[in-house]
Amino acid sequence: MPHSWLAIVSLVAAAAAAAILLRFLVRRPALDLPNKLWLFIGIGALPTLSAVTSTVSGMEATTQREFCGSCHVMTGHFEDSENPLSQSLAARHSRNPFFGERACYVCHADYGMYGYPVTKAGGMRHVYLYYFGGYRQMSRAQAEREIHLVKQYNNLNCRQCHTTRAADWRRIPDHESMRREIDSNQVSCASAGCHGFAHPFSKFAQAALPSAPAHPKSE
Amino acid sequence: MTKLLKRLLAAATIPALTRAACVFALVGLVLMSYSLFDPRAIPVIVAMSVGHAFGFAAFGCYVLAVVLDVRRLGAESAPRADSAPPPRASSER
Repeated sequence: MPHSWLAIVSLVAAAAAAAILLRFLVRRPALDLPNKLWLFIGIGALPTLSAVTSTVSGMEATTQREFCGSCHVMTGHFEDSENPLSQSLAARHSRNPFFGERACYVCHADYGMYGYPVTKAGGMRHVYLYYFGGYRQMSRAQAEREIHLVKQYNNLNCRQCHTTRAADWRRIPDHESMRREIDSNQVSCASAGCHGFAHPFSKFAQAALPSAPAHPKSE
Repeated sequence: MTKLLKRLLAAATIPALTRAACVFALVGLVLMSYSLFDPRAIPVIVAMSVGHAFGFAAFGCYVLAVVLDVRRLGAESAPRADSAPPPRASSER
């Protein structure tokens, strides 16, 4: 059931518009000025309100962890983030109320100037790959072995919250000595030697492969 | 394409256009509302593409119906040639 107030506004507007339209379809009144105005409300004003609020609500829904986990190839990632005993970076961040239900989006969003449309375009690419790129036919185990990030994870996303300028960060010798590599993404914050993988189970699955695939599929 | 559009416009009557507008709007509303109950990838994408397309089509049909109706009313209220008042007799000689 929709629970956000935007979704409720959208549903109420849609119901009111539908009532006007159904009345017109059933009674078929003459197209005089009052009926033209009623139709304008039923076809123009209320559906526009419903479309705008449902679009905002839909966009908001696409940032939810449950949405990301609705494709079966992401089930492992979703379950790990839900697991209260897991110590993976993803699970620990998902337990943080600042990330919470939006943990996937907060960590994987693009924070550049055109970050929002770029992130949404990336999401559309995921949907395309799921339905037309063979992901849908993959088993969960196969997906965990074969699906990789399309490019290296950007440390800038970690640094949205974890500043690299604070004294606490700088007092770690490895941070200071590798600052250039961290800034240039040559070393990932979420790597085995540093803070560990965000989704370690998938790395174990990939490591279990006899040899890396020649052309790994990318997510 | 233009010929087809002209033929469609010629065949389109005001009641048919308004009914089509109502049906298109209802379909669009159903698609948009469904995505709120089932916010997965395909319902959300369909709501934001097909649902909105139906909404635009509905509004287009409505506007066309109103334009045709206004033109019809304009043609009906225009003075006919046979009912025009006789010309005034000129007083100048």
